[in-house]
Amino acid sequence: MIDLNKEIKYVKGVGPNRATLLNKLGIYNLKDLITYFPRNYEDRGKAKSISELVDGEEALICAFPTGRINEIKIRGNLTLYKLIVRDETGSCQITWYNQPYLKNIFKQNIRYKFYGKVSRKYGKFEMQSPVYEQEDLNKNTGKIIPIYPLTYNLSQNVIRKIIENGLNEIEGKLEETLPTYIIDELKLYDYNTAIKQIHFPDNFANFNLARKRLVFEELFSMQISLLTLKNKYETKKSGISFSKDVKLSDVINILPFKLTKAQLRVLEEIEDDMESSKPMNRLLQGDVGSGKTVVALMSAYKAVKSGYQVAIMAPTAILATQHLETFNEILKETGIKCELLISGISKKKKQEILDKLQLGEIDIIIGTHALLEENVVFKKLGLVVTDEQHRFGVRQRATIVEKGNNPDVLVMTATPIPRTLALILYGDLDISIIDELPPNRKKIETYAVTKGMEQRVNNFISKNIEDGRQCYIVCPLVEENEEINAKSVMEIYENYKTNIFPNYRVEYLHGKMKPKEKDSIMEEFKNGNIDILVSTTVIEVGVNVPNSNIMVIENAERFGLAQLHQLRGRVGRRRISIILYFKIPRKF
Amino acid sequence: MDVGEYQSYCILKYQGNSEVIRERMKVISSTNDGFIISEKDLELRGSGEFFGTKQHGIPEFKIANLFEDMGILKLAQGLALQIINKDPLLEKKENEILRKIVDEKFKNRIEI
Repeated sequence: MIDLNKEIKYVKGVGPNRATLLNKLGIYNLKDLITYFPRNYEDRGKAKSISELVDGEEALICAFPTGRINEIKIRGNLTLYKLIVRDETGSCQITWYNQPYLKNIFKQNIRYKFYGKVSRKYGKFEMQSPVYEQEDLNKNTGKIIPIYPLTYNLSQNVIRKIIENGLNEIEGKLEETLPTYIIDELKLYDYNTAIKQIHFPDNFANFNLARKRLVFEELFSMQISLLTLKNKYETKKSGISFSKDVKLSDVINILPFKLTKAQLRVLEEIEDDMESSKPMNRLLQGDVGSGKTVVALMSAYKAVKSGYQVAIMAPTAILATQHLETFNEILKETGIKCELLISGISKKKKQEILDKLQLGEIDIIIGTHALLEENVVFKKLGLVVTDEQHRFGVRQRATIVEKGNNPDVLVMTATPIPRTLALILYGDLDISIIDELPPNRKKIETYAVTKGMEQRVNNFISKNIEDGRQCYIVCPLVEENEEINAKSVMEIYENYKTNIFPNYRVEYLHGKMKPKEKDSIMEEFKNGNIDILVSTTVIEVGVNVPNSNIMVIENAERFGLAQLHQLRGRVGRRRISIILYFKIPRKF
Repeated sequence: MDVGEYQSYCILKYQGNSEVIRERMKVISSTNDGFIISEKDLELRGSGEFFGTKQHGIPEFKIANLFEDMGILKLAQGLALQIINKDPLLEKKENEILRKIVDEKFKNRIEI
């Protein structure tokens, strides 16, 4: 049997030095190597007649040199090598730069193949720095050639050769990875053929079949795993049936604002789940500001009034604190007791909370990862809500769920995923979508600008600061290295502070800072003492500073669209408690 | 009622002049609907990058492109559903390989 875990350095043609480079590409063993798939292909299979060439295309021609290579010195360090070649239909000029060894390579009585990009100038064909080979050889031409993604310091030729060696080693001996009946039913390639043909396809029809098999396998594996997971939840013993007598309309009536149709629809879905004896496993998707928190709050209300406790887990302490404020504000007349459990609180206070929680004296506990700790014990946990779930994941969710007896679970995410995909990808969860924003939410005016507009942007920021507003400057994360990210924040910060806005208070925030430092900067920004805050995307997880109305995103092209959308959702955002304030006049 | 709520602005400074970059900037400045944006994002970047951002916590794909391969995805989903309905715990001999796939996935802990 083939050992697919064989270390990459032992594959023929690799060795320790190249192994290091391959590691950078995520290739550590034989299996990684043969599943390092090409990103593209060049058809160097069939030669074209010179007269059929098209300007701009990449093509293969097969032709005789008409004479010797012509060496032309252009500048001190630039020498041009020209060769005219001819086939039955016409001639083409081939050029290379600074490659003196080519001078004695081409012989007039031998036919060569050339593959490269064709250009047509003044009616004459030209090819620059093509790949070449004698007609009777088929190393770099004469077939479809794979082009691999990132190669770092390895050339395409080298990586191609290494993969070829790897394939020779496994030649036809790979174990099948899909059941035979599936392969037969869908008429898929077997694994060995697929792997061989994806790297070195004999023709494009074979490539398509190879790709289909591998894509199917990848997606099918994900699907079958998700369904198994979902099945596990559903076959569990029955869960909690929350009381039908607790009416959500009771909370709706004390809310100082109207819910959107989408929120009402989603609440109905959640209510059905909660009342049924099947444990709820629901994903709640909604855009930033679509009102997911209030939906969570109402679900919590139902659970508490049915006699259960609720755990709400947020990704950051700031976010957990904000949730607590909102809950306290809205639920203050209901007698429901909410508490906060985050890592920053004193030992004494923490112990007090843990005791109360175990005695059932706390109804809703809101917190961060701290909730996952072993000493967090509930009296009667009935509902678990996790916010921004991509930061937790299956395992952490499972840990907190274990603290109850098959509690209902509501997972909230503010990362919208296309509908069609969500249904398929979140196979283990039922899905609710809030696809409507509350009315009166002002659109965030967004402008994409290039360097030339910098002065105008700065004037605009300045004008808003003079009016009393505040501004965020967001820098992209360069890579997963906090050190480097911090440095890029500091550079941009220095520029704003010294060169652009010396008269304003500019501060910075990045991942290398101590939590205390971060909190104090954030606090000062909230209080309006800082005019401009330069930061990495740490603010992404949600601090609302209503007085900040401008966000400038540096190097916006490096962010994904979804991420940009999340980020801008943070400017000028008002929380429920603030909306409350403006609703007071209704009492008159 | 909107007293005190200021107009908010987002200014995206960008470099590069590729068509994809310009198209992306156009999309983000023309709509505030997160779902439309994610749909476009997927279309413009391909699923590899879309899901590779770690923002989503969805496994990265080595070869599939969820935008192009929607047809295969549906096929895979349909078949997976059929199999799980007939053999929920994948205990049949013919499904031994599938059992292995699932165990492997959970070992590497899928973040869904």
